[in-house]
Amino acid sequence: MTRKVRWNPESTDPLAKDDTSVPVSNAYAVLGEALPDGTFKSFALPGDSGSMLVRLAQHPTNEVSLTEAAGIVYGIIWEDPHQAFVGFYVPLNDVIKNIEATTGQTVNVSVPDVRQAGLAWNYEELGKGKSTYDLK
Amino acid sequence: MSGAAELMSLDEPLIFNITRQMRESYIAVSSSGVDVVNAKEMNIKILQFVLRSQMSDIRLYHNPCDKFAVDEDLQRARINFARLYKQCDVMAILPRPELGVVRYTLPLHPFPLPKSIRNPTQSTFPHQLATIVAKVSEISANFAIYSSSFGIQPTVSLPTISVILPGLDTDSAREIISYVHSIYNPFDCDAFIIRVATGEVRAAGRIWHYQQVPPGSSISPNETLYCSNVQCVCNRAELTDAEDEELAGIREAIAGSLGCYCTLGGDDKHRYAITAGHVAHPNPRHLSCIRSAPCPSGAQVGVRRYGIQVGCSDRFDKGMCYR
Repeated sequence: MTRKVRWNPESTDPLAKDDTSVPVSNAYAVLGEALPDGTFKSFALPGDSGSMLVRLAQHPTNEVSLTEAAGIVYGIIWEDPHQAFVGFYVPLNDVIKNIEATTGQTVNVSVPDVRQAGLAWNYEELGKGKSTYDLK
Repeated sequence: MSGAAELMSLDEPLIFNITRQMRESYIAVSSSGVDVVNAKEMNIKILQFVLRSQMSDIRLYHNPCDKFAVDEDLQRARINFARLYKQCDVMAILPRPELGVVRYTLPLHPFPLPKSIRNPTQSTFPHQLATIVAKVSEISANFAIYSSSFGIQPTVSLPTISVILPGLDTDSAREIISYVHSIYNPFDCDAFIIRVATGEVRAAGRIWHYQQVPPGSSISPNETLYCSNVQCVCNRAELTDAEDEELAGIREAIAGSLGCYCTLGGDDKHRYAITAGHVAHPNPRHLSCIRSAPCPSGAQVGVRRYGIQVGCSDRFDKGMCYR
């Protein structure tokens, strides 16, 4: 959903009450899933800044048929009325356009999938069973 | 008690006469004739020497627990070591406690061994480690031994071999401590300091170790940051209250996530990571470009960075590319 925002963009701290140096801007936000009691599940939490927001297209047979990169999460706002964190993101197209404008080079996010070569996202499984001490 | 513990358990240890005078002398000349970079390096060496003194006796650095009690004299010695650090810390290198927190002692933590330590010790470390492992395994059935840096913060820490034992009040533990002290001097700068501590081994369960980190994973360490840029405002010896408050966020633990990787132009060799601006660069006045970031092949990060304008605001949120 599209919203409006006026917030300190340098640090994400709130602006001072009389500070009008930052104009109101369009913003893209995601609210968590609505619950029957009128509250919402938290979609994003502090620490999620910078992560990629993805959209999953679901096939009628419940299989995920497509994963789309929607944008980069840059702010999380606590909404008192809904008792939930609202995630704000910048659409990935805007990010790419601005990187291209700044660097003068084309951006390619289709990083070669090198899994087939056994080089990336490769992991080594160590140990057995579940930790009983919350070690991660 | 003996050695450093005995000297520092007095109400006013004699060394305070020297360190207080040293601090006053520094403050008298600091505004006119101090090379900040050299002064900082020398100050770190002084603090590291104090740390060596503290590491010379297990009772001065081991945290109190049910297996290790600290009496009144020992607690006074520990507090006096914290006072000694403060008196020697003329360049404000050590972390300041949070507002409202009164801290009598400075906690010590393990840190990764920096490359600057790792390379020069490549020849001596294996021999020292093999000697320790051979002796400890001969005496104790249960132990864990690992190397790390150990200290107050990464800049004020020393290369250490930690020997973890089930307890300290057993004959085997006493024999190991005695042996370690007999062959390794904590003031020998060419050898690792041997740190003895108590601990236990627990099953970690199944874990997945990714050699290359996937998108969406943590890009920052969620631990207190320190700035290695001596020119940065946060490393100035004296800050105004406003600056101190402004830069508090740099010192606090923060975490952020990686968005995705990308490449630029036809260059497929260099891969960049995209994240939110305040994750990559938490404060505009903080000049350090060193960040912990998932990066293929352990390549250095933060070499190239772009501030990108996104959104509709006149000022901008910053998207950052890291190399």
